[in-house]
Amino acid sequence: MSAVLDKLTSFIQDRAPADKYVVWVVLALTGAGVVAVYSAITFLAETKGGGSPDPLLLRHVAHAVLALSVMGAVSLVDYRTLARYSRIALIGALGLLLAVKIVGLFSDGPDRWIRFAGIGFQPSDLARVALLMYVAVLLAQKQDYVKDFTRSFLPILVWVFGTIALIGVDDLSTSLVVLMVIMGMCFVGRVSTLQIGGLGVLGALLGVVLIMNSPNRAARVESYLGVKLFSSTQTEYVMNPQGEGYQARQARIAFAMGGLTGVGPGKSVQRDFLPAPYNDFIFAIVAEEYGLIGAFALLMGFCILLFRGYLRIARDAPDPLGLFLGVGFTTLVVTYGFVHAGVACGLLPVTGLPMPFVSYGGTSMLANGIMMGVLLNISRQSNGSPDASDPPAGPRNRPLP
Amino acid sequence: MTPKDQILTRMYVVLTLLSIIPLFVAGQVGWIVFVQGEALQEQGQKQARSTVDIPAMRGAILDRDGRALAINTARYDLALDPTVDGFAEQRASFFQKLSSLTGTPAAHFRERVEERYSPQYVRLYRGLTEEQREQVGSWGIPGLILTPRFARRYSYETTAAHVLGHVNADGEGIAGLELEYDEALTGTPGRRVVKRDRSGRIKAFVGGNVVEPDHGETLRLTIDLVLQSALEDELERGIDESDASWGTAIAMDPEDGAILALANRPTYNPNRPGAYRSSARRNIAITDRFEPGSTFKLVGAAAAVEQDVVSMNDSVETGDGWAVFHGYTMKDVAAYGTIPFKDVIAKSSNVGMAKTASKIERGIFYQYARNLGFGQPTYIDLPGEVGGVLKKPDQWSRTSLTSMSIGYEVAVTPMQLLAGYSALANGGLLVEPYVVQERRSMTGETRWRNEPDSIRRALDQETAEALRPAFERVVTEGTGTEAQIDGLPIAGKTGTALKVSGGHYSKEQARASFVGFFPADDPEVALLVIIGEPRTSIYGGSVAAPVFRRIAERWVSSMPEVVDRMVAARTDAGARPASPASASSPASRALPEAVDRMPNLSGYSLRRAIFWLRSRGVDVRVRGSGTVTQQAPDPGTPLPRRAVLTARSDGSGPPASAPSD
Repeated sequence: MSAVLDKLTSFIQDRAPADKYVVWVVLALTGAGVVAVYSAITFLAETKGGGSPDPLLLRHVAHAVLALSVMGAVSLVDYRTLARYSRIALIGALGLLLAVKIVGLFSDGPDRWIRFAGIGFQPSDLARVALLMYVAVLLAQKQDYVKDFTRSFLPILVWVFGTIALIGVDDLSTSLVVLMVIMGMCFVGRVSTLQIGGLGVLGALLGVVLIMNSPNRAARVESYLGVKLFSSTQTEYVMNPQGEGYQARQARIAFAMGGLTGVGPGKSVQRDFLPAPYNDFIFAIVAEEYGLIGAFALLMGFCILLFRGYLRIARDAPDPLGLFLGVGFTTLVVTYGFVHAGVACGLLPVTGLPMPFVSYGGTSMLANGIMMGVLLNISRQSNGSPDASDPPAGPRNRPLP
Repeated sequence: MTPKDQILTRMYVVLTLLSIIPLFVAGQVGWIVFVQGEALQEQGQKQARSTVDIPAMRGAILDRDGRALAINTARYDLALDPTVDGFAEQRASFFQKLSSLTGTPAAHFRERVEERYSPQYVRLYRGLTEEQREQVGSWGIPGLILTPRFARRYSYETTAAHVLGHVNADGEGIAGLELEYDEALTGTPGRRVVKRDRSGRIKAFVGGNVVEPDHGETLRLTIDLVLQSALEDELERGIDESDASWGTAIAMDPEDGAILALANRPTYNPNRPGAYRSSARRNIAITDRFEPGSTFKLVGAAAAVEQDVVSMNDSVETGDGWAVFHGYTMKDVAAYGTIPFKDVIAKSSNVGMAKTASKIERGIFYQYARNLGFGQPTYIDLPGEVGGVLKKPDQWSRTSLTSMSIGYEVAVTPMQLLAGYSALANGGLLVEPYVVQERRSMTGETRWRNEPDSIRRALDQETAEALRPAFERVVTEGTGTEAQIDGLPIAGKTGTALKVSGGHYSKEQARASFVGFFPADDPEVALLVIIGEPRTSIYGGSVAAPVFRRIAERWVSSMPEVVDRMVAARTDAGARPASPASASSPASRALPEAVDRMPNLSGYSLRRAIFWLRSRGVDVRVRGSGTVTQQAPDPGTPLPRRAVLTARSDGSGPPASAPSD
């Protein structure tokens, strides 16, 4: 027994230390999330539950503990090992997404959830992690001929759009963010700027067509801009008090109520007016209860993640794969945080993106835990400084020339 | 540039782009907080705060002795949101249960839900009791909304209905005192600041501003519940016995105008006002005016005596019972010949009165009528009072004076008539009748007290005193002997007015009235009884006077001084001990104080037995005199409406001198 324990301790202690900053920031964000969700969840608890927010809070805490444990566990597994299984993982996730789609056809309305033994999770969250990882693997593999469109960028795009086609139909915001992050990875991975730019132009055209074809989408754009642009939209949708104009206004009121120092823990009023305050608008609730200071603290947390992830973990990664993975995962988590904050304060149109580690929601928390775990593992294997000892060379893990 | 350098360079580019985003977010947040902050805060506070009324309790209505006539009870309105999850499954059984609870058919509820106007709200039932509410709550049906409110309850149902009035479904007074004193009874609702969320639900707001409600005031009336019940009882009985279609009776304290009892028939139950016709809800005593007939002779008599046109003992020629005035023939019931003026009143001679009145100047007659309160409202504190009609002398025809002297060509309300006789009773002062004695706050402090005052002097004291014996003679030997009570001096006047119907005075629609006061020399109560459209007889003396008597009999038993006087008067009148062994004889045995069954009366003096029965509202018919030997119904049976006593004088004592009624 003690032998096992000794072996386990030595297994952990023998590893190089993980990045402390990332661990502390993740812990701090999770802690802040628990407090904020406890307050924000009361409205949901009163309408749906038996009136007490405690059961919902317990679930959130359980999710957080699970996600942090997964992060710790993943940080002990060599990211190269994980990368080896990324293709299978992606195919599996896509299979699940497809299954959900098919089930959704036979029930009423689109469903993003899989319910398994009483626990529901969203396969799209796992799909984006697997996709990012596999793109990093592909980029690392194709470094020699990366400028070749048909040999490198095209295969990547096939996987990307295959996945997005499955996620994207009814979760446009997630697909868009994932697509942007992957384009960022490709850019860092030396894919031709021309090819990425071309794709961007193509995407913009496609976007306009999509908006023109759907009065619903057009109305959302109008609602965000506050200007009537298209004749096909129905004004009722724009004027709907529960619509996006309403949500954005309520969120702004939350910021205004909070002021510099906030109204105090648990005293949020806007949680009763914002839809899904525990998820889509947790940033606004934090801003209301803890003021500008609280909001800036959250932003600062994500900034630390961004700089540690790029300038320490990715730059010092032992190999290109580590670098691409570091850039990809850091960017995805941080972008989610920034976009969430931008939506909450009315900078971006209303979408339902959770704030990583803060918002309520198990699957996204788990996905974020996996990504941070990978990031930590990369940091364990860093070469300390760019000129430190070379990692063992291999056919796929050659040091960069 | 090596690939590694290229990667790092590109990485820095992405990093720079990414790190710009939080700057934008921070800028936007700062902009919201520091620039738009105040306006947005105001919006937020406006939408999150709401005020809720704290209902003020409606004041109670109490009788003279503090018995609650109208009180508040908690009632609950039941509404439903049929869209709530889980309601649909229980729908059918819920309608069934609600139907058996309220007695309303289930189909009615189903229809209401189907044809509701608002998708998420439909009111199913108003006014569930506390018990019913608990039942409904125990069913556990989702989507039910129970709203508490105050409802009005009139504890004694129809008793004093026209005085109390009633409230509508929203608790606003719409008749009677409930209307007249609505503002005082309602009070001012308070307010509470509450939190409101986006679906409009209200939550308590700790530290929110609360304005306490100012509860409505309690009214204490001059009405005496016991007297009122007796009066209503007897009025009802009088109407039944004379087969009449309506009636009204009012009693007031002639000294200050306090209304002791007021009743109308038909009446209604203010707990369910909608179940009655509007005619049943009308307060005839103040809203109906009619030609008073002989009771109006008070005006002519007062004017004639005070102006020295005639004195009480002057002879008046009534001849053969008819006379012609300006082409119109006036008739008496019988030919009285030449009689003193006091008998003109006692016998109610139209001819004699008209002849006397024709000697009075028009303006003087009008002035007396006016001074006695006719042709103007009495300003009683009840709503809907009418003023009556008293034409000015310049509108009179040649026959108006004589017609008016016997109570035609004028229209008065019962209340006016009673106020006029109260002036005669109290020595000449016209008083303002009132019902509410004082208003109290919910905690019992007096907020307002009625200070009764006379309106004006209508008659000189001497005039009133001179007239009074004539009105006593009405009862002792005139038209109103049916009102006579042994040992109690009563002054009054009968009235028989025919209603104009199709241009003619119709005997089918007569109004028989009796108005008077007792004890005549020191009046405590002025009482008016009007029986409308009686079938058995049209004369006030035979229809209204007995009702007056029975009310008076029942009332005096609760007036100790009056009872003492009566007993003394009877002893003086020769009710000497019936037998030498008086101390032990049953005649001096005390009769039970208050029972609702016939006692064994045999052995009691007829006088005592009659008094005992009459003070409990039993009509007594007597055969013989002296000591009671037989009675019907038998002892132990519930108190009847009528009793027959057989008596014989036992030879040992002097003959009893009980007057026959």
